[in-house]
Amino acid sequence: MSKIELLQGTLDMLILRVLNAGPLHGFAIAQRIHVLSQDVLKVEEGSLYPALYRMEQKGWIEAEWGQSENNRRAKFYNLTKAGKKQLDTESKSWDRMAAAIAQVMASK
Amino acid sequence: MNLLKSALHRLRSLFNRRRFDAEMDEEMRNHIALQTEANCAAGMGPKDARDAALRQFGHLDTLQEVSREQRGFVWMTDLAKDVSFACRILKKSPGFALTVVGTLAFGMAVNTTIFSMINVMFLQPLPLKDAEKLVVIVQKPRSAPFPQGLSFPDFRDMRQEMTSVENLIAFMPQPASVSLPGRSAERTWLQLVIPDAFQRYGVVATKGRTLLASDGEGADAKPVAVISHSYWQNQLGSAPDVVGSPLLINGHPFTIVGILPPTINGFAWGLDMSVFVSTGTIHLLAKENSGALEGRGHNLWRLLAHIKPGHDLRSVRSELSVVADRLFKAYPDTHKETSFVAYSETHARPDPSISEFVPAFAAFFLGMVALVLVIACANVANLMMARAAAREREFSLRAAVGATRFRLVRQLLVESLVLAALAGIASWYISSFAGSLLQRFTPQSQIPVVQNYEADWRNYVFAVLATLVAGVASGLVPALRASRANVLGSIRRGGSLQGTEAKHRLRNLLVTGQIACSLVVLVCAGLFLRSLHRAQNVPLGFDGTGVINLSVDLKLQGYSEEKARQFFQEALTRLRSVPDVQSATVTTHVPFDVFMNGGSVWPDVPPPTLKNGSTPLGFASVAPGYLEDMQVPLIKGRSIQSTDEANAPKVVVVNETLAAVCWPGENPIGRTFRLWWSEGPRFEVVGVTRTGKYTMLGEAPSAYAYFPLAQQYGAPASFLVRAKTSPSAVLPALREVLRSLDPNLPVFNVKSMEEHLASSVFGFMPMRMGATMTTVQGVIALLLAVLGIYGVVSYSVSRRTQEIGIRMALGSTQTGVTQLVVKEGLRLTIKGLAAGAFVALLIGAALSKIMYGLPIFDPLVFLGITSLLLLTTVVACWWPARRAARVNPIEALRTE
Repeated sequence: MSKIELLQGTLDMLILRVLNAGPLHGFAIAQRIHVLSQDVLKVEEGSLYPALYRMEQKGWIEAEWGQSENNRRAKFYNLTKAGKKQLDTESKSWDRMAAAIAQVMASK
Repeated sequence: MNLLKSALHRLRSLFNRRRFDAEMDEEMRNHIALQTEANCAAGMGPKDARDAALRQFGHLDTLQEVSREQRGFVWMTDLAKDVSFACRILKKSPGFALTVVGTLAFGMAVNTTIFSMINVMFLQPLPLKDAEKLVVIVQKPRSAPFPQGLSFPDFRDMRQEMTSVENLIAFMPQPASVSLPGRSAERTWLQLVIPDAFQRYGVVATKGRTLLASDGEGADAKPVAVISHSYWQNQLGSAPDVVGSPLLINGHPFTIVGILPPTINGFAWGLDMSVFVSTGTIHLLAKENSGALEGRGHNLWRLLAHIKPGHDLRSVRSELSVVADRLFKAYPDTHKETSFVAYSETHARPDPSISEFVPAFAAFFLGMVALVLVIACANVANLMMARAAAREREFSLRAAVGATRFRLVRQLLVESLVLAALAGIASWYISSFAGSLLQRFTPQSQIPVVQNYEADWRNYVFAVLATLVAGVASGLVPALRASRANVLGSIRRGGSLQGTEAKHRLRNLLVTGQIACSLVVLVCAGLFLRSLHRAQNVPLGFDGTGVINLSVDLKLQGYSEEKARQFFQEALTRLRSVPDVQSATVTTHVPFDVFMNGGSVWPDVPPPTLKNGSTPLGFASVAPGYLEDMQVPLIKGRSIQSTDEANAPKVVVVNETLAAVCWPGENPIGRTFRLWWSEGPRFEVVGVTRTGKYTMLGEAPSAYAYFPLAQQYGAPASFLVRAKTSPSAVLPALREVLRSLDPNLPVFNVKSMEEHLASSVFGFMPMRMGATMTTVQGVIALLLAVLGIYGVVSYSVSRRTQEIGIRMALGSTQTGVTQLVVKEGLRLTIKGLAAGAFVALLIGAALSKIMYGLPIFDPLVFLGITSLLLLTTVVACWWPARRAARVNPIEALRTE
């Protein structure tokens, strides 16, 4: 499977979307995206964690230490109200852009 | 809101760095563990699983770096690391660190001290409201050497009419006999001032009140007084309930109504006034002051004002000339040939008479300060470059491991700044110690002077700026050069020590520049010393060696003219009989005094060249035999003798200049003139003296005359007593004589003539100040230059060990090698001298305009300094030359 390059903003949006369903730790987020995209998107850890820290800094997500499924201490990330708003904004503009691109590609 | 949150988050992560790092660590390891498990579940062996997980994760350290960057103020933590690294590395080479810190510290210390002095004299504003808008207005008669004050009616008119200034006030310092009732009177300086001046200039009393407008400024003024803080402390012992108690001023009862804050000493810079009273009380203080408030010709009052918003000094000056014109036309008798001038207050220090020179003076010394700092920085830069070259290998390694050029440069700059900061602290201590030495330059005059050298914010700013400049300037170029390291080449060569030609050029250029600057500073020092020497040898027109001055003010003490004459006669007899006294005499004006007696004379048959038939003059009333006692050269006729008593025909001795003005080309003996006005008392000329110096060293020949004290009485007067051997030994006896005649008579201004001349602002003081400061800077510049040459030459010797080995192997002698080294040093110096000589000439030309007697080109000074620098170059090269000569050719060829 070839790697598709994800733009930084897009990765943020995907993380927010994944977290919308509930708190997850870093490994789980990467796995989730991989699974939901049906193995197409594989997030590199080198991009994942900087993105997580950046978003935590911006106040879109907040972190809490907890117990993971195999009894390890893990940091769980949670969506904040500001994050929810950000997700809304970004998904709306993504939809608009996707529709526009589709229109151009479909023209004769 | 988000911005604030993110800033707070960053700050928090800055402070909880360790905890965050630990957390991040744990999080990543956790991730790797989970990935490993997933890999195992997918079928990989445990080791493979872990390897795969790690590989996938990427380079942990870089990831952590990047993550950390998202977190906090990375640059701050990096900076802290840089500083600690710098400290460690400096500790490893203490010799280098000490040399650099010492060099910078001395350079900065001297300059901080000089700057603080310039600050106090020229920059620090008066502690009055809106001090930066203050202007001083004076009157400049064409004939008098000094600016004068203005008359009170003129002041009143100006206050009413002028629109470019506001808060115009008039004041006058005046000596008075002040005492508390029951205690003996002391000669104290008070300032008469417009009573609402305190309010206008934002001065608030610490106890009681200041003078107010309601106290009246005219003849109806209330006899109330405000005292200064130091007077309250020193004379009244900080007594608690002083407000409301009486104060006797010249015998008149006044009431103390308030005490001023410690920062206020008066309305003129530098004068330490003890008591303040309203202008209107002047008629209470002495009978003959009757015209002080009404007379148009009584030019006694100093004026101070604020420039109104929307105006500047130029508009004030032009308005002044308009006002002056009007006054001249309205009152031609009293306003002949004079003009009104305004100066910004800081330019009128220490006295308006030398105000034109003040900005140039200040600029010159600041320039010297900058030069010495430049030399120090050049030295340090050279040292740092040598060190950087030695650390080339280290930098190459760091560059290879990923340090950016910016990072390397920053590291080196931080090192320089750390050194500069240490130097700054050291120099602060040195300069506060040196500040106390500066007290010796307090200009002495009859009026007590305030000198406050405490550091204010300007000093701190200057010190901080100087430190920063020194650090950056000396560190920047070495840093830039070092970071350009050729990575592979230098590692392979094992830290090659072959400097490039360009590096050598820069170092040599720096040293050349240093020599040039040193030359300039030293030449200036030489010029000042020469001019001081010359000034001290200028024929003053009298001989002051071994003479002591003791002044008394009999008028203030209440003596009548008759009583005063008797007093002087008796005093002189007794003084002359004190053993070891060669001569004793009296005069009302000692040369270079601040106050001089002046007036105008109407010669009997005035030449047509004399406008209005009169000419101004300065004069002194002297005891018989004065000219002989003070060795004033008499070229015609006779001097004042004891036969010239009060009832005898009035006589006068004039100087050449006055004679030439009144009776050009004729013999003045036997001629007469009238004093004060055209029908004033008539005096006959009985003698002519050579023209000397009376008020300023730099004055043009001025008209002067000597009247017999018995015929032209004046006060205060000074006893001038010449001792045969030691003036200080004879002093107690002199004091005793005066005390025995009148135990209550205050005797003041007791000092030797030499002291008087040396510390008078119109005498030698400016030159002494200039000479000392430039000499100190010159010595420092010389030391630094020696260090610089030594550094460069010894460095080049160590580089050329191989070459020297070859030379010796080929037959060069030890002397030959030594000569080689010394020649190299001399080459640098000569280039520097050439450049510096040009600049020194320019500066000398500029200086000669300001300072009296400073020659533009003094061959002795130039030759002397040049030889001095050449000599020091040879000395500085000596040690490296010796080392070079001792090189063992075989060993030298083997190494490298």
